[in-house]
Amino acid sequence: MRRVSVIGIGCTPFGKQNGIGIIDLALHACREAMDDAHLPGSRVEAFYLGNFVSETLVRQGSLAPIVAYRLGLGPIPCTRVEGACASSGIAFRHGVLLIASGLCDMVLVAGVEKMTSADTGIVTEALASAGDADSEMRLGLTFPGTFGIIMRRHMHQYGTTREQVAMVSVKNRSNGSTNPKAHFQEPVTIEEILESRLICDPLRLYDCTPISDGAAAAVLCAADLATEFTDRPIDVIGSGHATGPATLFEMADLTTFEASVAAGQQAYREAGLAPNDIDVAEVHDCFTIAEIAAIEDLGFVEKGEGGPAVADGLTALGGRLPTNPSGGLLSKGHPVGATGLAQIYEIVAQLRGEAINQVKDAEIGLAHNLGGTGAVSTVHILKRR
Amino acid sequence: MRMAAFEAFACDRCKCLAVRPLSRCRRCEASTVLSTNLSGRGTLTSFTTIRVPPTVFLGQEPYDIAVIDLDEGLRVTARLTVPEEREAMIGDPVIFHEMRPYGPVFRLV
Ligand SMILES: [Zn+2]
Repeated sequence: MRRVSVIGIGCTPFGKQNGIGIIDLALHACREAMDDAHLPGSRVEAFYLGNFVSETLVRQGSLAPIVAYRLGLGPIPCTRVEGACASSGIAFRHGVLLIASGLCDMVLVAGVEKMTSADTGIVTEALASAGDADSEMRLGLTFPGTFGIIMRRHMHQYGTTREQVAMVSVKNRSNGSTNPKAHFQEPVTIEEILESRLICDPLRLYDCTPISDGAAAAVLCAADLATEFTDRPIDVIGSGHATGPATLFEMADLTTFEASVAAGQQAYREAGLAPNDIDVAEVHDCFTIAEIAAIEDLGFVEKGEGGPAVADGLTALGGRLPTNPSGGLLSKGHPVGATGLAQIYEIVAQLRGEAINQVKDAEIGLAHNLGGTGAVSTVHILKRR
Repeated sequence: MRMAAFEAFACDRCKCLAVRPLSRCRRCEASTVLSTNLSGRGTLTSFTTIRVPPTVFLGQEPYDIAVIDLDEGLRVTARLTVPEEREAMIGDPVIFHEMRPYGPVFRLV
């Protein structure tokens, strides 16, 4: 297998982008990534685009070929990838595989979602379609409800406190307050979180991500060709992609996402690294409790110790393992199909030494993307040369 | 209060239980997965109160959804009925009450 590098990144601001449609969002991120890589469209050999529910939210399908054609790419293979909230983590993974296999030298990958132009009820139902319609969603369960159940169980099983869970949002909203691309750029206090409206007990409004528009993209290149385009390529040294149950009742432990554990193990094994080798991480904090589960599932801390770890500052900027320095989904927003590549965008910026909340001397970074109620996860480990 | 048996599915070979009918057992891949009646008794593993429901359930909120471990070893997700004067706690005993179009309903014992 050939080594693969990231040579260009792009990302739109996240939030309510009035008047900018889904195609234009994707074009903007792709163009920025290609310009960053100094890559002419004629060199792109394949295109993967992550997107979750564009048909429902903006009545537009065929996204990948439409975006590729508008970019002026050649008659190349273009594929839309759907894996709920992990759609563009999977798009990135497949771009890596295409180059690693030797089939292509240069692949463009992107992710996009346009959410704010649809009614909230339609958005809620579209998001719920990532759950299992036949069993849990027909009961009237929602995505926040799923994570409310997980949060209550985590608190019961490990003594995790409500304040510790809220600290995830305090940390990420603080990190995001300096990120000009973040949807929420105001910090929040523990009191504001604990007094915010109950959505699905014990989960409250400020435990949740906002509904946002956005797109992100990256240019992938065979590692031996990377310095032709950039003097600071970032190498993909580990890639994991795994499946887990799509329902709560099929989870053996309600606090563990088997897909995250398996994808993490694959990525660590390929990289020949352990969790404590990671300098900076972007993990899937679709809800506060999800970040606590993620840092446990990825082995940053033992299962059950995520709450105290966050409260003690382990994952804060300046902590032993800074997590979500971009502000995470909680601050940036969660345009579902774009999230996985927005995480890659931040990790590449960190490893180049040009991030807004720069982690000092970051050499190795990890990006963790989770789809549905744990049905799919991707984990990527990146390293600067 | 009436009591109802809770219908589940059991592999005739390895005896493992499933919530849904399967053409093959997920564990041993046997094709003999048969309907079976369970006691409907279990305990509360976790639960939430849905205060912002999907459009089709608007007007029903707030309602509770729970993950329940049945005594026979099967885990299910269901609606939970909590009597007015009671407050649900993880570990509380629950019992199957009825099947509704949207799925099973359990109640606190
Ligand atoms: Zn069997």
